[in-house]
Amino acid sequence: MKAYTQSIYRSIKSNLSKLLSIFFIILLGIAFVSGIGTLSSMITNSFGEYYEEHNIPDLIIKDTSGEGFSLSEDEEVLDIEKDLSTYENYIKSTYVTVFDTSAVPALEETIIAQIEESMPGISSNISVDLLPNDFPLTRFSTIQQDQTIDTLTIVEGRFPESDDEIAVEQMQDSMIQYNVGDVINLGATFGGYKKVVGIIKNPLIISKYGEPDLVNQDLLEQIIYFYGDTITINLNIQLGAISIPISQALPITDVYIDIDPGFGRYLTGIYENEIENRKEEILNSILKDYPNITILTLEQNTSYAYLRSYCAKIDIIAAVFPFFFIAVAALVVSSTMSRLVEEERSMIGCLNTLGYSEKKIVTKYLVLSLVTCLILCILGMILGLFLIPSIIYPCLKTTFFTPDLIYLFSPLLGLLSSLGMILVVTLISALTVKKTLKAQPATLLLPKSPKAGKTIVLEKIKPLWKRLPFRIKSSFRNIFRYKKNLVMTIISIAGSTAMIFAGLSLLNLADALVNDPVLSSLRDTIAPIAILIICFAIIMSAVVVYNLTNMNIGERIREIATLKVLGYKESEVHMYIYREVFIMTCFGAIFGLPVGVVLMYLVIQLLDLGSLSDIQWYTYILSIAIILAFVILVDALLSPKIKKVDMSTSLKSVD
Amino acid sequence: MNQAEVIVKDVTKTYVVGDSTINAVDKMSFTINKGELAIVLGPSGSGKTTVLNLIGGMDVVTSGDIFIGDTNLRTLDKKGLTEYRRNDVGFVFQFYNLMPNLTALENLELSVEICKNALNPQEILKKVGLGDRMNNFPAQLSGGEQQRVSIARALAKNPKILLCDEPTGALDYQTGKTILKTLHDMSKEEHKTVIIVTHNSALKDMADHVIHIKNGHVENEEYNEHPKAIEEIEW
Repeated sequence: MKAYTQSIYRSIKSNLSKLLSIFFIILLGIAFVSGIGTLSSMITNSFGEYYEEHNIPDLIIKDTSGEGFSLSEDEEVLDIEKDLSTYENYIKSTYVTVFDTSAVPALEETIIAQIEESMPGISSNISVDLLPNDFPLTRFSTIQQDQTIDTLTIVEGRFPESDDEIAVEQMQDSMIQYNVGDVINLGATFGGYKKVVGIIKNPLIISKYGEPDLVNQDLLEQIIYFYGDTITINLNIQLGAISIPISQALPITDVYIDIDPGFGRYLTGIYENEIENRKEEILNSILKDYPNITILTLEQNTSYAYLRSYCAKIDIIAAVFPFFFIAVAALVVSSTMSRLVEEERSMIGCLNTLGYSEKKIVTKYLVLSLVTCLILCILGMILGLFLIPSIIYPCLKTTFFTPDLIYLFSPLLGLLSSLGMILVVTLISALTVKKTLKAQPATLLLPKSPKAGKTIVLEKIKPLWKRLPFRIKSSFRNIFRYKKNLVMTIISIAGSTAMIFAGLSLLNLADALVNDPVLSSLRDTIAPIAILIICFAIIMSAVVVYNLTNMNIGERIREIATLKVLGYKESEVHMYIYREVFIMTCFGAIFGLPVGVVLMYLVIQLLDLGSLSDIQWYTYILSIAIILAFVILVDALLSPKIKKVDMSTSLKSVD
Repeated sequence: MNQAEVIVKDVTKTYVVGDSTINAVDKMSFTINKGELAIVLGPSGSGKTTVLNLIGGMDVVTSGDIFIGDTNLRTLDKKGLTEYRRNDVGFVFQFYNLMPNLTALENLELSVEICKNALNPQEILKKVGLGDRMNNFPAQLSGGEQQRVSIARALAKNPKILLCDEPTGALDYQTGKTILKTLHDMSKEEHKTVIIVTHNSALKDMADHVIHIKNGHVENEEYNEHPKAIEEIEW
């Protein structure tokens, strides 16, 4: 038994380079798939934790009348809170004033209407100017004392502690840059000069793209937080010599509500469904007597929606590409395995002759590939689950104010693909051993006779065949002589080309997104995924070509030696081997392109992003060029092996 | 007629194996004339394969000279040797070494394609009696037929010398004889210098010139005034 184990150990050792390339593909494939597969849940989890920590409001009740919720007169806010508290899932609420300067014209009209009410007929003689025309698009917001819902974080400085002080929201793309210590003139109405004492991070605003205003959906240029829970405006209305001072608090516009969603965490479909149900319940029962309100859920929050659609798109990419990856990887691995097993034929025959039972021989190979596959899959999953999120997640920083990454593994995709990989590889290896064992031991002990040449279909096209240079003819014959190699090469190269094409196309799509601001959140994060896809495809095609060429050389040492004796130059001998690989690669690449287009069509449909026309012409050429470049590179790496072939090999007997 | 075609002069070939050196060929000298059918005869380990490799331009001497016509092989670099193999030597292998994916005719074309003074492959194939098997693949030919393709391939180059390594070694008795006949006829009809390297001493009677090799030396040389017809040779 020890010697048996030893023999297996030896055959591993002697095939190390081929085996290592297989290991590499399994490792990489599983790493990629499990990494991409866990990405969106890791993002969701990290942001979810952040939302949880800062108690982002589940629901926001907004006043639609423009008058706001009043505390002083009929205590409407308190009433809403009182009514809500009867709701079984209610936890707590807080009220906030959010006033965008885009609402100034409406406010001016309201003020005029108020004056008109107290002094009828006067309104035609007065004008109210709350803000200068060039005042930036601003959101004024209050900070509640001990605000427990939507808790704001101080990024720099401190919270305002007096009426002279304000804090500003941290910088977004559309915003004016302020530093702590700056003084801003808010105009007479809003209290004149105020000192910026703090930079604030509001969990409701995590997108760096910018926050749209509530009236026109234009992007805000500044968000200013006042001290205290109300914003008071002061203005003097000149009526001839009379000056009428007006001082009033801006209406309370929002009630933030924290409720028990029942199921699910933030950024999941379950959560959103549950909240939607809660919202309907509240609107239709608890608050049915309030006509001028609307309730928003997080889905209407710009940042949340961006993040959500971003994760959904990652999920789509994670669903489409891994299937492709694993299919191609499994094909490459299992076909290499089956060739390795075939090379073991004399060993298998020997064991068989010695009286080892078929079951024992098959079991050994089965266990060997199973254990190897298992170890590699586990390693790949560990690698991918940690590595890929830590590469991609930082890329989100260009788009979002990202909280710290919290590793939460959702290994489902990784497990599924590992399972698929293990099944395919083990099964193919076992079947090949079994098939080999069917032959008589005596035949097994002899080397497998080289495949006979035969005429190929192409020869039937006489005018074409006649015109082909002789070397090309020979290459074509060889290509069709080993059909299994041909099929394997074409499929794997086609798969790799399709993936490279898809990766490059994703980059094109990402570039096209620049013109579409809403989607450009997506752009910076698609790019690294696309690059990962391209890299993986390149590595895979390189391994395929390496294995193929390596075996090609190995199987034809004798032919190479003979050619050398016949006076073929080194370069001509190299071409004799490479031409075949090159022709097959070209076939594969050409087949791969349409596959890539179909793949991209699917991805575009699923992502609802761009169109096939966004894919640049050079992407088509580049994906083929990249594949060919790497084929040439790999072949160059194998050149010494051909050079090393000794001419005297040609004198030896067939074995 | 007694013009020298191959001159081997004081040739030594040393191989380094680990710490020790082995002289596979040791100060060997002999001359083969143009149009001769020469047999280099020796048991395995005698150095005959090394001689074959050296004359064939597949290996280089450690010291000494090998002249093929006017060319001293020692002065040729790797490229020069390739050039030499491609134009001046026709090689016949023990195991034929035909490309399995090429037909008989194409196997000739493979060698002719890179050669300067090549002959018409079809005619050569007819000459070796394979006119009707031209489009067959090696697997569809018998061993003897394959060896004849191999000879034709060597001849098609119109080389200065035909170098044959145990040409009958993989063939049965009768087939072996037909191959020797082909080689003999080619030597006589085409006036080619044919060198056969073998351990089979029975072949020596058919040769014009026999070079006996042992332990890397030429043991003795004999010339047959009247070589035996192939039919009379037995082994």
